[in-house]
Amino acid sequence: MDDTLSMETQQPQSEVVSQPVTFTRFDLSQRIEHLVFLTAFSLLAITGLAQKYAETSLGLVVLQFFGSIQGARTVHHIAAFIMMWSSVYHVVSVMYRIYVLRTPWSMMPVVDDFKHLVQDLRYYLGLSKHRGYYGRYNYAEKMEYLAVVWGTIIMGLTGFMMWNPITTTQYLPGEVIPAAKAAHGAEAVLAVLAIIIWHMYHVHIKRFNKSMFTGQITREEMEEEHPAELKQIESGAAWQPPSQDEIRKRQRIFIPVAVVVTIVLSLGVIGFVTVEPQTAITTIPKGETVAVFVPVTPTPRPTPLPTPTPELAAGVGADTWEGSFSALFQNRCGSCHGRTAVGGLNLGTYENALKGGASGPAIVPGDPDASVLVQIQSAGGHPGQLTIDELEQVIAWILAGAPER
Amino acid sequence: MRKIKLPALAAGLIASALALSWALLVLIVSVRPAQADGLAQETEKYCLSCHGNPDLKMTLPSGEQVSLYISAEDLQHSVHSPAGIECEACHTEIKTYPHPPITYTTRREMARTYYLACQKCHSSNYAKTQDSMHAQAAAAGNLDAPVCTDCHGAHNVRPPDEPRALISTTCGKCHTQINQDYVQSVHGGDLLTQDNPDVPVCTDCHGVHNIQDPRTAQFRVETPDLCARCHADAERMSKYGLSADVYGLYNLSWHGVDVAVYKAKWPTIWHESAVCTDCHGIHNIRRTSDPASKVNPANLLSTCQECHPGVGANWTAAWIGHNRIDPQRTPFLYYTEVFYRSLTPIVLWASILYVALQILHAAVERVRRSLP
Repeated sequence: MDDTLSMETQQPQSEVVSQPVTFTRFDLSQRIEHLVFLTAFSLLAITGLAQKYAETSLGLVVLQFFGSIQGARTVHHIAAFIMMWSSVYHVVSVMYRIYVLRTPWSMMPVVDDFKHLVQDLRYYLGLSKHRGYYGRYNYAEKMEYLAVVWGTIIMGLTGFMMWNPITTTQYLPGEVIPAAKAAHGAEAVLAVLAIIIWHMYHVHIKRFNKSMFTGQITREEMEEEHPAELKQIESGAAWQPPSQDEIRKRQRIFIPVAVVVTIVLSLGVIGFVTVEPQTAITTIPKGETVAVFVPVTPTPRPTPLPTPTPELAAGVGADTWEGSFSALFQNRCGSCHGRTAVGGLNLGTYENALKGGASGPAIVPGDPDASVLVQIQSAGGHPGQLTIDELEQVIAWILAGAPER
Repeated sequence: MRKIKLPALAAGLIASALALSWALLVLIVSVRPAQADGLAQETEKYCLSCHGNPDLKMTLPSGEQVSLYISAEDLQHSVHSPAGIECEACHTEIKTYPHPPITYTTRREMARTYYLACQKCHSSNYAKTQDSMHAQAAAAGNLDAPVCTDCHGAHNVRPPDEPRALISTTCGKCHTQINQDYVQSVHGGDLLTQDNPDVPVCTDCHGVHNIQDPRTAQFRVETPDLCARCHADAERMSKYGLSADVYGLYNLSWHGVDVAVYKAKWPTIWHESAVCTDCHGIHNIRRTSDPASKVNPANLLSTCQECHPGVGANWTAAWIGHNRIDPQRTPFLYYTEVFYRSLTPIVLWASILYVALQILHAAVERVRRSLP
């Protein structure tokens, strides 16, 4: 309903063709309002969709950017607060424009809008030579504005329910909370995709329309986008601001009403964010508090004495049976494959190791694949399992012919 | 006896039953003195000649009396002795009599010295225990923290899970209160009365040798996955008429989303959002229909109030349970979804078609203008 239109024929001399005539389409307050709204909307979309799609990798990246899911939620709440305030401002400013300035209700859909839509569709299909003859706002712009109004109301109501679930369930059934969450998320997806498809195309791709940032629109753009409005302006039939006296007279009624409305709506916004300071406790009781053990006087833990490394006898190589493998097998395998010879295998002596047990020769010099010891140990999971390093040393020793000394 | 194989069998095939018995007797008599001489492994009988005396005792420097009696029956029924793994396999420092002097002063120190022998054969499980909550408790000074032999036994080591209920009994030797809760739970009850292989025992959730502290933030956020190992298994759940959707639906809830995010990004930061055990209980989980269950409809509100103090009677319906959206049970939610599932595609497709039409028209116009 924002409609302060003033014509600024910057160059009245119409013979200077090079100087384009521009019109003020949006005043400064409208442009600031748009910037604040788009900032809040973007923040809400980013932090909200990251929560909705939290399990996706992109969602996690965004949440990490905001520090935590709480961080994203806090930013979401701050942006929601800004959006609610700008909505309060919008309501009051629309009241001012309609009551005090008496601007036309140019955002309301009228029958002509449907005619324009049909004309445009025929034009795009090549059935007609002319597009709709739009006024200040065409049907596409009206639809977008009304979608934002609808979306803000839905998001505000469902957002309140999620932000203040305890208060909500005092009056409404509990199920509205998950329903509010579903609606909030679905409406968000709809709004963001509509902005990307509809808004992006119409004001950025089709023609990069800067009027929302500069406030100005050229005559050529007016001819293209708002021909009916242009004709109205140029014929002098456009809306004119009322006289100062009239404005002052109406302001005497408007200001007290606006103050009351602002206070009521502001209290609503403040109540929105403060009615329920805490939905859940932040320190849940730890699950297990049962003391299981009675502590005893600490005494040092006994540590096993390190096995002394025996000196090698003269003429004994390090990588031989006597040099290292006899001791390794005794240590790792001796409990079962010593004299007990579980499975017939006794690794206590070199001869017995070559002979092997029931499964075959444990060690076949030069052929690790045929050595049952290597076969069993490679499969893993044997009690007294050799480490990978130890097994590799054994294989190397067997490849070298399994020397005894 | 294992050594009398081939000659005895060959003889048995040829000779009569009497001749076989006679041959066996001769062999047994002739082998026995040889075993007593070869001390190294076949030591059981030799050792039991003293340690088979129930009155054999010693007094440790701490003043504690330790019985040195070893029951031959325990040994025979253990997993080790019948496999030929006898006394000296573990008591490596004792070769003969008289024994070397003892180095420990208390009974507990003795146990903590001898259990180190287990790692000779069971090295991977031993390594796991070094990483466990129990090892941390011991490192912090609590020498009562269990070692291998405290759970498995020393001379009477048997399969630890035969029957499966033996596991919870073993843990319950120290964790008494928890075991009492567990045996009254739906899991523990079915284990004790039916030996049901589907229900979890302690080790299924806590791990076996590398048992971790279950009070950490990490364990907390992984709890839903832990429960889901069984509760998301449709085949297993169908036997008990339980839904296998509980985990998937939980993951869509407020609690589940937060927990999943923390698990993915900040697993070590403590987070409050409810996990399975906060509502269902930990060791004392009961059937939802059980009046003592925390999530029985009669108790649900007070369970919610543990974390959400001051909530009213309508609150519990805000948790749609582990139920799918359904027009009868959750009409608001159902029709909200229907509404947006219809509205969103209509709006978006109309927008896409409308924009596409304009782009197409603009392209056609450009081509037409470029033509002569």
